[in-house]
Parts: sequence; structure tokens; C-alpha cells
Amino acid sequence: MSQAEITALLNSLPDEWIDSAAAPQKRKPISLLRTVPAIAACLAVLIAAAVYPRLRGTTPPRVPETTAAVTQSVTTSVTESGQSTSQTGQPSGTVPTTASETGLSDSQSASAVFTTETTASGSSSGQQTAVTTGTAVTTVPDSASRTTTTTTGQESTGTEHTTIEWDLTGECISTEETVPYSVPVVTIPLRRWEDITDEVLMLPNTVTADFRLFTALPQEDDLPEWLPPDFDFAENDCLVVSFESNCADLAVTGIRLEGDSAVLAVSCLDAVGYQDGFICCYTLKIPKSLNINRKRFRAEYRHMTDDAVFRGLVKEYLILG
Amino acid sequence: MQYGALCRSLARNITGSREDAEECLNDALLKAWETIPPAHPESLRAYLLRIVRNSALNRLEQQKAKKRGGSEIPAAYDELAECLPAKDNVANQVEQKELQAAVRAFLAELPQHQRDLFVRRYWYASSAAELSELFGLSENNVRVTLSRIRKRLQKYLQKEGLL
Repeated sequence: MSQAEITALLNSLPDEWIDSAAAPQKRKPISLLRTVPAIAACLAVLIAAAVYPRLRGTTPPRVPETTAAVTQSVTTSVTESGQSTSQTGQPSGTVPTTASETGLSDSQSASAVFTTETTASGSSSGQQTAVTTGTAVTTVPDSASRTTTTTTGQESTGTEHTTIEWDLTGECISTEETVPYSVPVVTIPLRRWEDITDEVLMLPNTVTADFRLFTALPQEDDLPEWLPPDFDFAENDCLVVSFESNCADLAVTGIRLEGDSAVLAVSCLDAVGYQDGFICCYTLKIPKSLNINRKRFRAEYRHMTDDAVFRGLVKEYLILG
Repeated sequence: MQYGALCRSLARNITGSREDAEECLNDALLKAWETIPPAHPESLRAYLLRIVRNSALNRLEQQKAKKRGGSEIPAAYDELAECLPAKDNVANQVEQKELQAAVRAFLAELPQHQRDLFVRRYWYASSAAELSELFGLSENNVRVTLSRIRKRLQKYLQKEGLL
């Protein structure tokens, strides 16, 4: 093909192609094409590395806890002189000790209710709405197999002595503010220290509890080892609450006064894999001005199924000293 | 002049001489002055470049007579001639028109950057070094790409029965 013919051939090309070729698009350098995605990938990894630990560290949101509502009520007479009698009433039904006995799984809500009247022969000091500062002492006797404490939420072994304080000062603290639940599920009798017996009360979920109110320093023989030796009985009464349970995760998370009643809030983690021989004791310092010995005393005993919620509750309501 | 550099570059590619390129540019400008109007080109740049190119090709013929070298046109045309029908096969004007249409159809199917490369090489008579800088490719890459385009053109023309 001659040059003239090739020239004619090329001259037949459209103007737009000639225009386009006059200013061609320069291709981006290959190094840039490879570098940009590499930098983007590095940034993504760095961001992920910075954000992911925070996401993992985020506490799970608190959800309303479904409780196993098992209510037991026992009547106790308390004499004016501080002498208490033995129990005069018994539960009006059989107390299921475990959720399985009720035919319910752990995740289900048991609803067996046992209710009787609780009465006190002592005269009431009237309506009490103010709640004062209290101090609780938790002593966890040695339990080699124990792996979890109630107050810290941390795994530990061996003997542990923890001082717990919570501030309940303030006037007319409402129920909702004091305890995040309002339905009493277990009523526990009040015992005076003068009438210390070995009798323990079986609570649902295989928990046994012993509540003792000390209005004065007891005799040496009767002095519980977990009673603070420097306790000032001139100003305060001492309420000792001890639990003997298969459940290590059990805590007193508050106390409130409702008229002529004192309500102790107890939370227990309804976890699987309980271990035997766990004892948890709380010593509550209650001002004498509240006349706690003249009140009907009961506990709201709440079984929780969510470990995170339990830990959050304990952490929120108990200030570790 | 807005397109002076481009026209000068085209003329220099064809003639291989800076002085000849300047003269070609002057001739092209004079011719454009004479033809516009009555001509109304859609693309002034393409119109000017065509004039420059034709002027440069005419000057190249004169150079050949004087045995002067340095042009990119012979090399570019030789490359292109390899994939185009031999002179004897183009029997008449009709076949020449068919060939032009086939080449245009082939180029129309190419990706734009390959078509630009092709036009820039054979229409503008740009060297591989110049194309390398213009398109951001290595000189070797330019040569390989052009070689592949020519082979594909050859196959296309064979398929169309023109080769």
C-alpha cells in the first residue's frame, strides 16, 4: 500500500478521534494504583484495631431481669423485751428448692407463690421513711472450690474479707431508687440475737439464711466472728445476715424502710454450676433511731438469670471499701 | 496561537525538521485564513491539524527528493503497511473506500486509550518516546500495545475479506 493511500486512509479518520488523541488521558502511574489500596487497607486495619478492643470492652446493656418469683412467708413474733419466740407460722405450701422441681427450666420463670401473714408483737415506732447510712461487712470463709465472689464480680480463691458500704442517706428514698424492683419474693423472719438458734431457714434455690439483729454487744461465746469488734452499739444496731448456699453469687444490695417494715434487698445469681459450702455474711449498721427491732423485717429475694445484670446490680449498689 | 504547540509538534514529527515544521505551520495558518470562511469546521483543532499534516506531508515529499531525513512518517507508515493490503490488492477506488470504512469500524471498537494511541502514532506520527510521556506508559509498553493493535487490525481485515 502506498504512502498516499495510507495518508488517504488516515485522513478519513473522524475529527473527534483526532481531537481526542490531541489530549490523551494519561494513565496513573502503576505505583500509585498499587499504593493507594495498600494504604487504604492499612488504615482499615489500624481503625479496626483501635475500635475493636473498645467494642469488646463495652459492658452489655442492662435488660429487665426475669425473676423466678417464688414467695415464702414465715411469721415470727418479736417481744418487746427483745426476747423472740420460735416461729409461729410455717409456709403454707411446699417450697420448691430448685427451679427444676417446679418443672421449669432455668430460663423459665417460676411462679409458685407462698404467702402468709407476718406479724410482730412488738409495738411499732411508727412510720419510718428516712433511710440512713449503713455499713455492711462481707466475710467469705475459706472455700477452696469457690471461684466467684458476690461483691467484686472477680474470680478469686481462698479467704476474702471485703468491706462494703452504701450510702442510703437521704429523705424518703423511693422504692424505685433504692431497689430496682418492687415485688417481694421471699419473706424472711427476723431473729433477735438473744434467741440465737441453729435453726436456719431454707430458702428457694437451696439457699439457707440466718438474720440476726444485735442491739448490744453479745457475749463472747455468741459473738459471731464476722461481727466487727469495734462496732458502736450505743449508736447503732447490728444486723447480721448470713447465707449458706450453693450459690456463690449472692449479695445484699440494699435496705429500705416501708412504714413499719424494713425490707432487705437480696440478689442471687441463678447460675448453673453451684458449689457447696459457700457462706456469705453481711453486717449492716442500722441507727438505733430507726427502731429496726420494732419493725417487721423481710427480704426481697431476687433470683437473676443474667450474670451481667447481677454484676451490674452489685457494682451499682455496693461501694467497695 | 492556541494550538500552535500541537501543530508544530505534528509538523516536526512528519518533516523531522524544526525549520520545516515552522514553515508548515505558517502555510497551514495561511491556508486556514483563506478557507475560513467559507469552511465552517466543527473542530477548529482537528481542521488546523489536518491542514498542518497535509502541508507537512507535501514538504516531506520535497525532502525525499532532496534526500533529507529525520521524519517519523516512513517508520510509522511502514508499520501500518504491514497490516494493510498490498498495493495490488486495492484494485479500485471502491475497495479503497471499503478499506477506510473497515479501519474506522475497527478503531471505533477499540477502547479509547488504545484508539488515541493508534491515532497519535499513525496520524500524528508521534515517536514512541513521545507517546510514552503522553500516555504514561513505558516505551516498550507503547510498542507492544501498538503491535497488538496492528495484529488485531490485520485479523479484522482478513475476517472482512479485505486482506
